[in-house]
Amino acid sequence: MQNLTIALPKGRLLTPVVSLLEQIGLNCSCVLEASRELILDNNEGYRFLLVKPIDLPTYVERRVADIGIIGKDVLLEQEKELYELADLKIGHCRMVLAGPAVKESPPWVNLKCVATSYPVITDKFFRCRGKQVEVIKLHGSVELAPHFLLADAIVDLVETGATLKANNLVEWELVTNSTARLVANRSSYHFKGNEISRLLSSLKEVRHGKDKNIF
Amino acid sequence: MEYNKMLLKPEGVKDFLPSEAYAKREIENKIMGVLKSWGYREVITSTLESGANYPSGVKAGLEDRIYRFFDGRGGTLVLRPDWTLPLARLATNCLQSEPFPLRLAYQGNIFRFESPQSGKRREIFQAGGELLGAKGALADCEIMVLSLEALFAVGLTDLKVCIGHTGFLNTLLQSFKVKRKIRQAIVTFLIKRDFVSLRAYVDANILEPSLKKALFHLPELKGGRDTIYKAADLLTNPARKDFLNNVIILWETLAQRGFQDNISFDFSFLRDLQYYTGFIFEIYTPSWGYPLGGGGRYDRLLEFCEHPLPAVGFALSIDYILSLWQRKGKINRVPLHYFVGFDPSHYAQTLQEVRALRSRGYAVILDVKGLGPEEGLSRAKELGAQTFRFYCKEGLLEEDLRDDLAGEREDKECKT
Repeated sequence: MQNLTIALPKGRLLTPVVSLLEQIGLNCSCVLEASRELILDNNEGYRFLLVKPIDLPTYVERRVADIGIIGKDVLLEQEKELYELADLKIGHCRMVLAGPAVKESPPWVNLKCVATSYPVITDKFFRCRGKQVEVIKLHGSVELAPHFLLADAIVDLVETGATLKANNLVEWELVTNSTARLVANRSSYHFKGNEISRLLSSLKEVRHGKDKNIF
Repeated sequence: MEYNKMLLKPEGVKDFLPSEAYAKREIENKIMGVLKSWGYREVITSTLESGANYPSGVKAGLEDRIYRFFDGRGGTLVLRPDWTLPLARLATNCLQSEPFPLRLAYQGNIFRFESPQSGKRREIFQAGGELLGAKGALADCEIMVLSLEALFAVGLTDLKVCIGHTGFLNTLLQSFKVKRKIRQAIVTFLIKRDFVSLRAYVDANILEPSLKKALFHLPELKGGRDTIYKAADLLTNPARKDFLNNVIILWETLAQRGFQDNISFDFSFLRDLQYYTGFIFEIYTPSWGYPLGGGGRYDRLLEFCEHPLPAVGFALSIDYILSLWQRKGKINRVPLHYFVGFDPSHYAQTLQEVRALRSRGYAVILDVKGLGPEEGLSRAKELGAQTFRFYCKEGLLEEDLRDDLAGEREDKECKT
């Protein structure tokens, strides 16, 4: 069997991704047992790389890994040269525009400045609505920005909405939904096409029962 | 923190140190040698092109990555972002009287703006060829085979040509009278290789069930000869017949030349330069994540001018080939055959001998520091010379140093 190197995102996506891979019969015990190692072989033809989500597209684009699984939010922000093969419908989260409660409609009509960790997505979101705003890039805790008037609003990922609420922010508008995607390197897509499509069809099979329109 | 005082290199460009420059020249010579042996004559155009040839716009693609600036009269100039347009310009403006088809070769740099720290260079080096004024499978085949032969010549053998056809999708969508806006969106998703968005978009915007199904399964139209038939079956006659004839002939011509194992069709594949009108292709090797080169047919690029001409061409990435050479340890010290020292009393004789060696093609360094035989020998070793010679009263002292060199590592490379 030809070896396939799979890049996996550390952090919140890792657990659901690993359990999905285990469901299609990929032995991922090496990933679950790993403490500090970042390169893990399952001795069944698969090698896993554990990388920071934001770096994952780079690893796949440069063919350090043949394929990878990563949130759509990261892909939208980076626009790398990859194949986006399937929506795995796991790791669901929403990216929203949020700010203090206001009366205007739409609430962003008087907006001037937005804080976010996703400047590309934010810029595009507003330009599609015929508006240009100043975007301030922050690397986390963006909810602080409106509180201290660093920005009028934020664009950020939301899972439950609890963090927004705790910081007196309300969701103004959905920017995009994000789920985990299967991505492939351009060269691997052609040279390891059979392995990749086998993996793809097992993923389809496993999810078939729940939702027929997954892929 | 204070910066050291130093001269700066702009971001995104590369300096080629001697061993790299030597290897780069070797790669270019090998590729140009193949092109020459196929009757492709090299042309050289200016790094500057008229800005009018590259209208700026909002379309994604090349347009927003062009270096553009003003000339002395307020007109715009660009640093050439590709080779296709300059060569087409040259062919129609200057080579009208020559017998067509024209076969032209080129090598050199092009410039495209890339985001900082993306690992991509803004000045890239290419070599390639264009066959201008010829239609048909034989011409398409010539360009594909030529690009493969050029890669074989630089020592790359495990190659796969991924072949697509821009006409296929166009014909399919037009036969269902799909609106321009929707066609454009589908093309954009395919150029971005985003099958997830493609599927969602098709699901929402295409109502005709058979077209919907065809587009859902588009990414699976990938493989050998049978793929051509699968794709053709999505079209209706006479388009089906035309397509089939066209593509099967290409396949057979390539197979006849023994390349059937190197080619793979992929009818969901599109390239981001939108001037292509027929076959498009990209060449991959397993050890490299990006295509080493590619090309295609662009019959309508020159339609606007008085002399439209069908054309097909390819470009190979010298940078990627050089990186592969580096990985394979093929980038070595620049050969130095002789380091020659001399006693002042024997200067005239030394000059004569050195001239003779050089005329035979050897690289010879003649000492200018008046080193004696021992110092000369150690300098020769430092320089990695294959042979040390010293001319003096005692006659010619010669030392063969090739054994010392055998185990030596390659020159330090200069990182991007």
